[in-house]
Amino acid sequence: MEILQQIVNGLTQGAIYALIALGYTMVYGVLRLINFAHGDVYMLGAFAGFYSAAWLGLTKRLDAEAPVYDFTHWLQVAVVFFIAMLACALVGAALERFAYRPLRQSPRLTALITAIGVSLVLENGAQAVFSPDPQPFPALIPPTNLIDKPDFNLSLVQVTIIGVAFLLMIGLQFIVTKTRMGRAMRAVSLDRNAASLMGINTDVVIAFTFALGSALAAAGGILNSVYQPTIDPLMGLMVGLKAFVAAVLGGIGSIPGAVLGGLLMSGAETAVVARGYSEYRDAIAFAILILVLLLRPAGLLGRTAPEKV
Amino acid sequence: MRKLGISAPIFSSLLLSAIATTALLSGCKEPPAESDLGTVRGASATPSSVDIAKAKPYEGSDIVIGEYGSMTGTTATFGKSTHNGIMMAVEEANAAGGVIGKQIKIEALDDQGLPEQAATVVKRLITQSNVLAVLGEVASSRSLAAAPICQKAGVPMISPTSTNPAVTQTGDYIFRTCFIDPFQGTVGAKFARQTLKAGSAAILTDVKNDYSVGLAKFFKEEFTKSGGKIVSEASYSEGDKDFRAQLTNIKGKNPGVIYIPGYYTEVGNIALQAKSLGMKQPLLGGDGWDSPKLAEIGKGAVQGAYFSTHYSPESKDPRVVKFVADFKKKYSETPDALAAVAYDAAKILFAAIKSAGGTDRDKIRDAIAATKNFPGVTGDITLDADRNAIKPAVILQVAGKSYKYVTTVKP
Amino acid sequence: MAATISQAAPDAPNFARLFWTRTLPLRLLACVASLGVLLGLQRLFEQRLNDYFLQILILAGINIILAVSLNLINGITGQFSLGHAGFMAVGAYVGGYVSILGSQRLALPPSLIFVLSLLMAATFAGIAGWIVGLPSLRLRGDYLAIVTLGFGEIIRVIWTTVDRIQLPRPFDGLNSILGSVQLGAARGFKDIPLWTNFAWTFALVILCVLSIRNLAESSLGRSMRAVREDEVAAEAAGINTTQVKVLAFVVSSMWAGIAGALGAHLIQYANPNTFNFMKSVEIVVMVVLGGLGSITGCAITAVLLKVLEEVLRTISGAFGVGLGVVFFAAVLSLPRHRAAIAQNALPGVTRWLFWPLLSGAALIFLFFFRRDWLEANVSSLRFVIYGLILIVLMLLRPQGLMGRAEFGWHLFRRRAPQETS
Repeated sequence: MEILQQIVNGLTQGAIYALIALGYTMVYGVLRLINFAHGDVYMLGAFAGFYSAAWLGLTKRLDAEAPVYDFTHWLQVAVVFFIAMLACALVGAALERFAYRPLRQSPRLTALITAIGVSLVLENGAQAVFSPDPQPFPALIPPTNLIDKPDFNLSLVQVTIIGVAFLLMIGLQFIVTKTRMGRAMRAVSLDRNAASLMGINTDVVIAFTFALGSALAAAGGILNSVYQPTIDPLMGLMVGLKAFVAAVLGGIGSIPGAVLGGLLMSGAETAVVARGYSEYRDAIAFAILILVLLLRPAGLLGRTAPEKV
Repeated sequence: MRKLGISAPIFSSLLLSAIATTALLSGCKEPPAESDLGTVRGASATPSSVDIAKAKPYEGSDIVIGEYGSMTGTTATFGKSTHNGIMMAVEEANAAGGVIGKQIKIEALDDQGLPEQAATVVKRLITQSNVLAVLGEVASSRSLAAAPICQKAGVPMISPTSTNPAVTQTGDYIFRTCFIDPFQGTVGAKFARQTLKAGSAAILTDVKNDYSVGLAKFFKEEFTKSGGKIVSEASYSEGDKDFRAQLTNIKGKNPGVIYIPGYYTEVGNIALQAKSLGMKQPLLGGDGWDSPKLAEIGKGAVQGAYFSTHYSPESKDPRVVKFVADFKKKYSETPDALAAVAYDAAKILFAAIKSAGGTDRDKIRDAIAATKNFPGVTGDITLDADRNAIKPAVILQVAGKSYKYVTTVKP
Repeated sequence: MAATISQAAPDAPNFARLFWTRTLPLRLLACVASLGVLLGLQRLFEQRLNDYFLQILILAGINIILAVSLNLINGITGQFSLGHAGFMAVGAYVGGYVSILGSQRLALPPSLIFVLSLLMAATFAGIAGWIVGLPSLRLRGDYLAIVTLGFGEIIRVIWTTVDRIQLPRPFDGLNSILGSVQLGAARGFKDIPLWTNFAWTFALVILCVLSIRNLAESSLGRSMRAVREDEVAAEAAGINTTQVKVLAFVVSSMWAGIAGALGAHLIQYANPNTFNFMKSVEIVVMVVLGGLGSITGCAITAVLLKVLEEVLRTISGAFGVGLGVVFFAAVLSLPRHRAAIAQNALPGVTRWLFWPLLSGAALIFLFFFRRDWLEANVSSLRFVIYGLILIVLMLLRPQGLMGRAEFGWHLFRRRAPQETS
């Protein structure tokens, strides 16, 4: 049963990695840019959730002895998600407009350094504004166990996280494959110049991609904070890096790849820690990545693009 | 096309490097040049064998004290707590007319939580601001980088909470006001064996934190020595948020107690996740737990957990009551252990300046070394011959939003 | 200098030529002279300059080695490495280890032990570079960046777990000697002797700059630039691109190792957390801001960023730098708005000055009316300013400070500089 428990642990964490990895993979897909600030957008999402929950009076109510989880509660939780996702979508679009769009034509390294600059500004600005102390995140989802056996536990939070994450991913897949905007995104990622010649407004498409990825990161931020209820301005640092590795692992630019990468990464981490080598937790993610890239440079589900000469 | 080969420029640069090396070496052998290249005299690893100028004698109408700490980076919250504790001591001293009739100013610099930065900022404090004494750091890794500099310059340094024994071994100008790893680890193990009657224990260490690694090491030694068994040793890294994999593993081993010598930032999460996995073992930790945030984050899950620390904020001791009340008024939060110990460190320094009666650093050093039964908020503090604080540890139990006093363990 | 070299026949190496070039006596003279100057400066600085400035100077020197060596991979060979800090860590640990062990076991003068430990640091860092480079340099662009990042992190994690050297079975007889030095794992490696000083550091800076410049100007360097410009074309032209890239990587790692060892012998303490991902990023930033491919640019920004870091520590410094950034942003963005201004003066000027004026006003407001908040958060804010500098520079001067230009004697000669890339 211990192994089953570890699988559930890994699956939940993997779902969160996957949500963040999607933002990386989409932005990389359209712009070939590693958006290093994405982990910080995830952090901002968690803080937006934190403040909107306080604003709606949720935090205070949940601190009571026996909080009631009725219909209005769930409605409020939905509002919290909506506000945070909207806020982060705006932040993402603004970052694209002011920091990355002017660099569209310059070498990719330039844009990468800009992304690092944006990340520094967001992290340290957040430390100055929100204070570096960790804040306790309210239990938006009741901390009850659905299965409560001595050797196996499944909490409502875990089920919700996996459920919401997969719903969002299916929604994303729908947007990308079935809508006009999705088709435009795929066209831009295939060839930006050709897409713009076909009458696609690439600026709008790219801004939309940023907004969509950022909204997913915000959802990931809230879900993660409900699961592991502390938030602090540097929470996006390592998670961002790992989610990015997950995106590369699955094949960057590929949406199912990001999901697979996230799950694999978290599975490997869980396995290593469960075997008792927890100090190698951060190393194993990279070790797997290196192996995969050496054997299959485009990632697990990525397309191997032929070299253009 | 031609093959790669060693071409002339590479060869001549190799040659140049060989020549340069020989020149540098031969420079060392001649007596006048030796002191140029040669802070290397004696090859001793102890920095005191190197003579770099001592700091200028203190001058200035105010008393300027240097503080270095992590105001940014992953441990920013600890740097901030410490800074708050120190500022509170400074304000009190200044309101009471200052020390030896002079107002106290703190010059605080950020080391980003990096040893290299700590070394630089401490040099800056000593040479640019000519500070009278230095307060800092929370983490031993930074104190270890800064201590040799203070030692060389002859500037007294008091570290509030660096628990690695090596810090004060640097030299006779380096002090600390907290207990060292061996003591606290032993206290935890004794408590687990004697009071909790645990036969087996699991340890969950923060590998990025030398403090945590140190406590775990001495807990393990004492626990096994007194007949207990360590069934599982797991670890995590500062900043981690998911501990379920480690906990599930520990759960399978079913230990009698779980020792988590980490900081409250992670411990609250660990406790919550342990609870959701249905683990019922008592949790035990060190002074890194001591913060009002622990109960805020851990909520019901940390209830009943034990930790060793410096003092009990619930204590009816008037010193503690006043300190906690004043701190709440100034910063609108309950002080954590870091703030309390930093407050005491600053107080001890001021008392030493007072008893030295002037700004002679050597006299201040002697006065700090002579600290005996200093009435701090974290207990009566005496500094021993190794410049470490000797003071009792208390074991507290989390109860509601505050802590219940369990027992005092004397050194 | 480069002119004499390219004539060396590659197929049948003329060994005399390898040692003797017409300019050799001149070079030897320059070598001795620069050493004399360094030793003189060392003496002067130790008497006249306080410890703090000396420390900044030495750290700036170490930064130069790091930036110039990374430039060989990132700028000259065009491969994006994000793992430089890992090789620094190898150098710091190996260097410290050899120094401590050497002082205990070898009856040699300390300066010889220091040379030995620097050489060992370079060797091991080079080996690490080779191990990392050989498989990963087959990848390109961002993938290479991620793999090097991964290797850097793995190296760091390894140091957090090694407390003592413990060799397995057949070699375990050596453990009593090799294991006598405690590396400290997560607690950090302490008691490294203080051997780094101004003369050592800058002698190595000069060596580093010279060796990398000479390498870049050699036929190998031309191969490296060919790889940077177009790897496929380079391959087609018969260059063994993998070999060229691995060589650049190894040389660069060796210098990173030396820089790490210098740093460890300056701080007397090494902690694995120092060599994290952010440290690698910091070095990449130096290279990009200086101008990818420009050794001069990298060296300048390496020093500038170190100075900037110190200036930003105080509020007035941060304020000054902030206003300076706004001013330069305005100046740098003028060319983009020139046409608009010429066409229609007022709206053009408004568009040009809108952001600079707004941010300048915000800065002044914060400085004069929100002083308390600034005081309380000066350390966080200095990274905000640092980040903004990166963004502004990348937006307005993406080629970096120097572009690909170099400072050199050619600037003082009539002859037009010949850039052969």
